[in-house]
Amino acid sequence: MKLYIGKLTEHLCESLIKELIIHTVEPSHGHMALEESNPYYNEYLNQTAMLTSAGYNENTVEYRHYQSSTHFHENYSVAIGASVGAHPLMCWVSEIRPGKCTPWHWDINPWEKEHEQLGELVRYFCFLSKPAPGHIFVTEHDAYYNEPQGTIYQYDHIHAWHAGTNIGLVPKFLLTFTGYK
Amino acid sequence: MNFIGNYKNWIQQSWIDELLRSEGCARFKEGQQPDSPSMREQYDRAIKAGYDPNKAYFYMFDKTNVSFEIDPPWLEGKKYHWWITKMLPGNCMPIHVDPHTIYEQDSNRYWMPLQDYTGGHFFVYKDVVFTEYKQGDVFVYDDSRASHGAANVSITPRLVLQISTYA
Repeated sequence: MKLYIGKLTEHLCESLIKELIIHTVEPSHGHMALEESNPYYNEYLNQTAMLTSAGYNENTVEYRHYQSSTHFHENYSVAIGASVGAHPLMCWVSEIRPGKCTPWHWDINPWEKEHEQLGELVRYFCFLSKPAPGHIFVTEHDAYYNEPQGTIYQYDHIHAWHAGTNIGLVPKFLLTFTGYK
Repeated sequence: MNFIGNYKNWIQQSWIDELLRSEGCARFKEGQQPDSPSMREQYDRAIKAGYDPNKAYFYMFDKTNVSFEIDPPWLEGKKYHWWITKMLPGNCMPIHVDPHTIYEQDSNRYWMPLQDYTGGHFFVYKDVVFTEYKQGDVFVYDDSRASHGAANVSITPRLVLQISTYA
């Protein structure tokens, strides 16, 4: 079931995108590599092995991550935190260009054990770009298509599986916000 | 898209096994160019947007490269041609309009998944993404010239039977 939370203004979304696109960000092709000592190291290995054995490679998996404070002003994540009622911990924007995808995965947070000491961890996603043909996002139980710009939903748990792809003609931007309550 | 009915019992497991075992014909094949002006226009637009012209978008099967016959029970007496698309994980087909529906008379397009829906097997038709379908469900396009596209971001291959009738 979709957990609709609210909506950012289109103006705010467009301002954020304008800040992002001035940066050149190298594409990523899989999960961030983790140290062996990290509690989620095995999960990282499992997800990587699952996708590799399914046939994914650098030509298919491709996304670009823009980070709060580095590629856009942290005020955005503060504003989003205020609107969802959570203290910001991590906030990024994923860009998927035409013909690329992020296959089935859940977001491994290397610092989750530390973060969960602060309170209940919550994660949200927001459709930052205007709806466009071919921009698809799916979670374990729901598919999202043509969502109005700025719409925010909550993941039903922070390890929720999800995937996205872009079979359209323009880049797709999705914001992810992790916080605690 | 309008739901016609479910024909799961008509699908043979041996078809699925053969399709999964065989490579099929990669589309686009290396060096292949669009064979119609409408396809050329769509192709050029996709390449300009960043799609890789050397990548396989899906793998196609038709009567020339499978050992079985396709004789859909819901099309009695109609002229048709069919093809099956296999999308491996990571394959995608950009939003497009089928060029043959532009020059064929009274074309009707049917779409039948050969597997139950699994998260990451996408089919987009007009402004809807199809999920929760069952193996053997048959849908007919309410507009055979409508834009559509597909992608597979799961970890299993995706198989769909496509049929086009004509006058």
